[in-house]
Amino acid sequence: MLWLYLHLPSLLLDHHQTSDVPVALTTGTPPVIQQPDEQARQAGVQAGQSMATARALCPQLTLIPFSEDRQTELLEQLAADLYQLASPLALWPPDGILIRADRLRHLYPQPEDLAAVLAKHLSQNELNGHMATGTSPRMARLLARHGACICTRDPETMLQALHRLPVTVTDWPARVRQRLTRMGLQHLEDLLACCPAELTSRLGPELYDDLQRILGRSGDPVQEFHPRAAFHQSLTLTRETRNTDQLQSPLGHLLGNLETFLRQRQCRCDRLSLTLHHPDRAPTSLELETSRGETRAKTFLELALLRLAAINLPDDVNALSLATERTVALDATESHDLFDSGESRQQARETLLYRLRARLGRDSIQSPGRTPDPRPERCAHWQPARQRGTSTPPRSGPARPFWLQQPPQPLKRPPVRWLNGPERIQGGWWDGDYVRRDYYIALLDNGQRAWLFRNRQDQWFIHGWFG
Amino acid sequence: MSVHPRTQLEQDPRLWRASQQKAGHCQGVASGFEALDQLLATSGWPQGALIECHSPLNGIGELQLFAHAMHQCVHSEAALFWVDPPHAPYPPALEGMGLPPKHCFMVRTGSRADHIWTLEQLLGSSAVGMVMGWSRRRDPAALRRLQLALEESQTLGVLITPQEGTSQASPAPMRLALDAVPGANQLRVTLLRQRGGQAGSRTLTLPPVIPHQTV
Repeated sequence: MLWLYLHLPSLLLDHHQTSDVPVALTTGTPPVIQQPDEQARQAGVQAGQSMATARALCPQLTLIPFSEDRQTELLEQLAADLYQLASPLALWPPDGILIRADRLRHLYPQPEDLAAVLAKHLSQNELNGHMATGTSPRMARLLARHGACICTRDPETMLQALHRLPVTVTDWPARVRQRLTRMGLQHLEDLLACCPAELTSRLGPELYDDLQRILGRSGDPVQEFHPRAAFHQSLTLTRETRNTDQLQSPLGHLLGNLETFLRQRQCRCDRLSLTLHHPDRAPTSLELETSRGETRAKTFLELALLRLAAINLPDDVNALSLATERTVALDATESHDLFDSGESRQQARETLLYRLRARLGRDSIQSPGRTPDPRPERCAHWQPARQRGTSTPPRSGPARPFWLQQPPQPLKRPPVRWLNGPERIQGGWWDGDYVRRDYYIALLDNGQRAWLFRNRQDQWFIHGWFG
Repeated sequence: MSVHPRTQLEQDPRLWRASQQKAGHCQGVASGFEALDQLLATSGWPQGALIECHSPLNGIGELQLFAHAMHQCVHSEAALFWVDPPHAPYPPALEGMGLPPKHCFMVRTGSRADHIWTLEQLLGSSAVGMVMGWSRRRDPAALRRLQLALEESQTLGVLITPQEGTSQASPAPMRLALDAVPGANQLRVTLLRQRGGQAGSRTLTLPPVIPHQTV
């Protein structure tokens, strides 16, 4: 078996790195520098320094607290990207990815080819990493962590490199490593040359078993990684801001990742939740909705900016996170043909509707609905145009006013001319709101054509106007 | 060497060519009233040109004027939008006019800025056939924006504004003033301005609400 281990010593730092500002990770209480970047190192910042010292050496230094969750999240993101290039693979938190190289022989005949593809991906994403191959997962990991750039199929070369490794770079407990050094066993080859029975009796059976696993002589089960079915990513902003223009670029980056995610799975997303995290306040949550699902980052960005323009952010934003709430499989029959000039009219209408909804609110667009009821004020209503309207059969009957006056207004002056009537409308005995009205159409003295009714008490009301 | 007089003439910046006229691409949608169509330069309501309509009251027949255009709009499967109408249009009346609910949308906006933004989005979209908008206040700068949005598309845009300000200048290429004729089932339409045509006044008789059943 052949394994390739990718060691990412500065994953979190690389993620935060910018070209103009030096960055360093801090850890512990009181915080000390854990890992400075190249610019900070040139200014004299070193691991283990206090924050005050680091700031004195480099005043413009940005300090970011180390977070293991964040690091794991980044590792998962990277693994999900690499899943396209090289799978099966496994995560080795906090900073490693293990790839089963022998299963990829058809894609990459030589391990060097695989390494070249991985290196290209890392450099595109501005990440630093070391790679090494091994006949067992542990061997590949030890070699990669030591920085031995060995990418080969030849077991002898790998074994020789392993033999030269000092025992101090292994991941055994410090007590064991110290003991081995004191015994004069400086390199792994010294250890391997020892008699197994001696090793077991002096250092315990665990070390011997572990050595067997490193050499690939006993099994070392690895849990294969599969990307998640739902998209969830977050992005920490280097500078806190509430300016929509400044949020646009990080948001575009997240949505670009989403687009890749959706394209890889051949699906589209019709509901998306965007969370804006504030330093000392509950996060602001926005829901972006499209009526028929969308893949393109450009469309989501437009919707998100419309939503952001419509709300007032209570505080500066220091992180963004994006999650899909529902994805729908892409319909292959909907694909455009080569000569299709663009969106169809129906699609253009849907796009327009969700753009309006994003700015004006979810219920601001309404479409007419009907209820079977004889009373004029109850037989129709306007409902949020969410679902596609069902077409009702065209109604024929007496004329109805265009504008309904609700509640009806008492009629002040008698009409100048009667145009139509009467029409009796009666009903509502079943729910206690009984009406019996005689409706007329008449011309009022100001020129309005009104829909009038007389109730059972002989009172006259205006119930609408013919526009 | 003398320059040919025709070339000299062609280079004269004072010369205006009829082909430069912008209104050439405007198409008309029949209004349903023959007398009015004859008066309109495009033989109907112009598409891609904002129609500003001053109406003193609701319910004098202002919608009958555009009923035929609305019908044609939904007949060609295009959407009809109502933006901030004074009351909600009554769905049975829409059906009575032959406007199916699936093509009718009403938009309610909260602020003045949202109102103009919505109108601009709708007027500039190719998916919209016709927009009926109601503005409480006249704002020439906003009207100019709407007209620019409308020129990009072939939408029919009608903006109904209050009667005040009829004397003010307006960037809308077509302006109408509506009046009720007291005591008669009639509507007086005054064409204040139109692009590429003459202005004039016409009194239209509105069609009876129910022709066969009159008292």
